[in-house]
Amino acid sequence: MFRDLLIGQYYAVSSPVHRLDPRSKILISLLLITVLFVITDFYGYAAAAAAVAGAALLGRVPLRLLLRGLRPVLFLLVLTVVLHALMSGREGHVLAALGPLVVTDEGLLLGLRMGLRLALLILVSSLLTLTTSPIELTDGLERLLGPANRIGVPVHDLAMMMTIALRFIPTLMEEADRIIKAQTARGADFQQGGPLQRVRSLVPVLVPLFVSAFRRADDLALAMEARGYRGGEGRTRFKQLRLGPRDAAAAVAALSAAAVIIWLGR
Amino acid sequence: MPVALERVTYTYQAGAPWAVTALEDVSLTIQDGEAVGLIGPTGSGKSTLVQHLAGLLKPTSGRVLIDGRDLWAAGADRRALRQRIGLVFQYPEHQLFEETVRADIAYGPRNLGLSSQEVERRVLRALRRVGLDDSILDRSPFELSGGQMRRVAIAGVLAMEPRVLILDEPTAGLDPRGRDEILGFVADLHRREGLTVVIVSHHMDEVARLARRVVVMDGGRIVLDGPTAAVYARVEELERLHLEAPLAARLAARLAQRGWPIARDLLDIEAVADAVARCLGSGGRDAAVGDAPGV
Repeated sequence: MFRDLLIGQYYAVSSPVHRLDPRSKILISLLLITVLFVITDFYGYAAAAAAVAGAALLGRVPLRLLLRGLRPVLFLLVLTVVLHALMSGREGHVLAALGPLVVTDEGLLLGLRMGLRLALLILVSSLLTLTTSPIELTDGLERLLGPANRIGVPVHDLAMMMTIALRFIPTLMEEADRIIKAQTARGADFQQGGPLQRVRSLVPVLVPLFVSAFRRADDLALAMEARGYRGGEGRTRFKQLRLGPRDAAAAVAALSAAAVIIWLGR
Repeated sequence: MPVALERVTYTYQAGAPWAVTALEDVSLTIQDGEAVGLIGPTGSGKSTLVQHLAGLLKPTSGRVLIDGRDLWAAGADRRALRQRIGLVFQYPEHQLFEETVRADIAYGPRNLGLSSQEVERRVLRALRRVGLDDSILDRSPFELSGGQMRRVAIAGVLAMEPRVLILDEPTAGLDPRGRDEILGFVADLHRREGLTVVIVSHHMDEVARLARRVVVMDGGRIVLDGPTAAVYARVEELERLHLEAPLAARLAARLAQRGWPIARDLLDIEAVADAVARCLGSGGRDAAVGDAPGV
């Protein structure tokens, strides 16, 4: 069920993109995503897609794998296109009409634009997590958000929570898989019946899953305290983040790509 | 009701770059009334194999036959076929979820759509079969001891009344007493009721107590399959897989290696002691060594 979900998956190979400072990768991704919401022309989207594909090639991430990340959200993408096509009023030429439902060329284009934006947004974020290990990612975020500490945002704690959450996603998925199988072996059926019955059929999965999540949380808290964890105060790092020439090159490449995309897409 | 795997290969996350082949061209038939031990190092494919036997994983290629019928053929009644195989996962107590022991054991039978009398009958029977008594029926499963929780979870599987019971590491994390209790009632189920039992373990002594046939896996393949004593006598091969044969089997093998006339396929320490005593009785160690061929 969750097998194709790529966001949060790390593709462990060595590449120039993998070796970039996580901060550069986060900022570049944000830049690209912002650009996606500025442009309206399809040439712009094409250029953005080319930029993503280029980054994927450089990062040695197979394009097929990257595209598979869209599969779980395909329904959402189609829904976006359809709803926009149907709901954007009567501007432009009417292409088809059925009672109160009218599809105009303008509406359809708007829908496609939104769909492309969403798809590219997901591709960019997938690429970020595919080329950046969860630890690097949270490290980068912690450093980037560092200044927020001064206005009372507990940045370190948030980053630690995120690291732990990311770390336990695969564990919990595995656990869920095992519990689903065990209950299936006892004749459970998660497909049949109305919506209410289907939700009810999840109780035998969710209760054990929560019980084990709490047990794990307890163990982890104890283990962290036993190793002297007292939050971010005075904590030093084994791995120092340092921006290098590679990051400068990436920044130049990203900024020029953004300029080209905006120029083509206005 | 034989259960068979026919040239089964299974790949986790087929197509993805992190695809892992967990089973490779595995064929295995388990006959009615057998007690089979499945051993092998961690990651050798034991758990994947038993999940195929229970019809929970669909082979990437190959067939799973239950009673001669292909489980994954179009139109096969998978629910009915699966029901004949009871699989107890590792740490089965982690799947308990109901408010009372009674309700938890009843979950399986109720999914089968049985009448409430039949459900109640099965709950009581299952509880007795795992050696627990009725007094805990209305307690919460979460307030029982670890060993009791595990037995309640196994009762939940037995209440489905399967013909084949598969246990994946049933004694992991239990103290010796809890282990004896579980192995005790599993042996009873096999001997008294003729239930087919498959027990997965890397505890070879445990398997020796129960199984008359042992299947050894390594790297997703079956590397040894035969009567328990014969498999355990192949001490060197087992040691290559970092599996330690029971002390008795190792001792017998070492003595035989040094030329003592001792059968290599002795499984329990009593039999080895008898054999050693026989050698010594017939003139002591020197005579015994003198009689041995090649010394």
